[in-house]
Amino acid sequence: MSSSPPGTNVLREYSDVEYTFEPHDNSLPDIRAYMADVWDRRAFMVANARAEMKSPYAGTVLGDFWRILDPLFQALIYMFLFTAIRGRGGSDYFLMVVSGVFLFNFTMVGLRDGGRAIQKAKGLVLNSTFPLATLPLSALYTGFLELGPTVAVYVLFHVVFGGSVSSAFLMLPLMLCLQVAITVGMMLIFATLTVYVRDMANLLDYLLRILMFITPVIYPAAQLDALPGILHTLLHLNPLFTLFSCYQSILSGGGTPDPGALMQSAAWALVLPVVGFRFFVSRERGFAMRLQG
Amino acid sequence: MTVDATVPAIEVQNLSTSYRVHLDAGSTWGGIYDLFRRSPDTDRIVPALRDVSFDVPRGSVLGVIGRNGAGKSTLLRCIAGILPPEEGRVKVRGRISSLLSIGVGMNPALTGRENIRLGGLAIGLTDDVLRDITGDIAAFAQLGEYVDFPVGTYSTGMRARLAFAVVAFLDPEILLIDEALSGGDSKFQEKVGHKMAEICSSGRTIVLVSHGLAALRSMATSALWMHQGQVVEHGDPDEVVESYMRFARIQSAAGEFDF
Repeated sequence: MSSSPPGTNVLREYSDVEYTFEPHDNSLPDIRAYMADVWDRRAFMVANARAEMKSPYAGTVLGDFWRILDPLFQALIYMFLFTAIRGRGGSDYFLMVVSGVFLFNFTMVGLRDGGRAIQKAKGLVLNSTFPLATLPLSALYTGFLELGPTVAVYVLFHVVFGGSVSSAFLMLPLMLCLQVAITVGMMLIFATLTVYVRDMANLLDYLLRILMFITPVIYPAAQLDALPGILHTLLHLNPLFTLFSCYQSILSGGGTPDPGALMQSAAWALVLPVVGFRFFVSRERGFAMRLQG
Repeated sequence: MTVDATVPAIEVQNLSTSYRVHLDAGSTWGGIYDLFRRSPDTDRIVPALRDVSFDVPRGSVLGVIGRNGAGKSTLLRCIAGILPPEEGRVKVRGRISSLLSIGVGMNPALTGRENIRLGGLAIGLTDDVLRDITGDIAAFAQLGEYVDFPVGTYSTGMRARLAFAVVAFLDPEILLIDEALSGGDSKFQEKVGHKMAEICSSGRTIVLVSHGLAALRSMATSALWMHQGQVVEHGDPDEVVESYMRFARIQSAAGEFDF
């Protein structure tokens, strides 16, 4: 190198960017700057989600069509089971299960992919610097991509099977926003836990299945009113419980959701993202150290 | 206009860090325990760097040598800001290549082009910039049509070429290169040498980790020999490589040396 003396080429000046890396103490970075950084990487989040999605349905005859078929089959299986056990079925029940499973699928995908996002992107995490929250958050894109077509399919079912329509339907987008917020919060908590506690990656699928059964997805929420008080209180600790009972009131009940239940969902939607975000961001500097081994 | 060589591009001061070894037993509870502590746990920790200090002046090439596990890659990750120091600090003046051995980090299911895009977007580049440089990267790495093949189908040499090309064409002011020279044939290594000379004569700073002692000797302006996380010698590349080779001979005579 010293053989080519400086000055033969055009020397370029350095920018005044300066970094100082010092020991960290799980303190929070500048949240606003961090958020802006995450927002700037929208294209990355989409690319990352697409990279994750690339494999599962590649080369199958039905391809992306599976994104609708998968939740639909799930709904049919649950409906069959429930009808067989309780000896009750009918189109009302069919609509309730299908809408429940389709909506819950969004959170399911978010937590399943988002919860493992850091470990899956180990190569990127260990070799580049970027706001790591972009990794779990990219699972939201996958969730929406699956939600879109299923909503269309559900609308069709709702019309064909004569589901009731009311002005309360206008509240559905708002409730979806609450669901997104709750999902983001839980996703960031799971993503952090998965790095620190390796068993989480294995546990996650079971937790998600349990989460689905303690949420009124395949059974009417009202059915649990008969439960003893303490159990009922415990079920309400599930952030999705009241939200899904509200979905049911609108979609199957044809009425308006209970204001108290709605308030409780809104409270979860406000608290969880903040808690999850702080938990994740305050610990993300330690992630690389734990992935290395 | 000259590059002010008196301003260090990189200042490493009393840097110590370690990584955690995941033992099968007890790791879960230890992990849960760590999670709710303010400062990291001190158990089951392997020291990776111990009290490392050195400066890298602007416009110079620092070659880092040492055995496997000497802490070379960890050092690069600390300089890039990926691993936080446990003690001491690292100061970096200039835009740094925050995309290290992306060859290792590449997703085998994605094509070369997709991997370049994913890594580039992660570090904050825009699609416009990436479209411009992807062609250059592919051409330099001699990938040809393989740029649209999954990276999983690449040979080791192709991966190494791609890895170097990505780092070089992202045009950082401070380049960190990990083992890039150990892959690729001699013709490509020559190309790498030219490219590095070009980068360096424009006043950029390079930190290069390599096992290729001869190449390192010809390119580096100073060398750093690391052993078990500590700096053994820092100075003129010829002298440092000389003492390192003397050490290697003694060790291999004693049957203890592995590259």
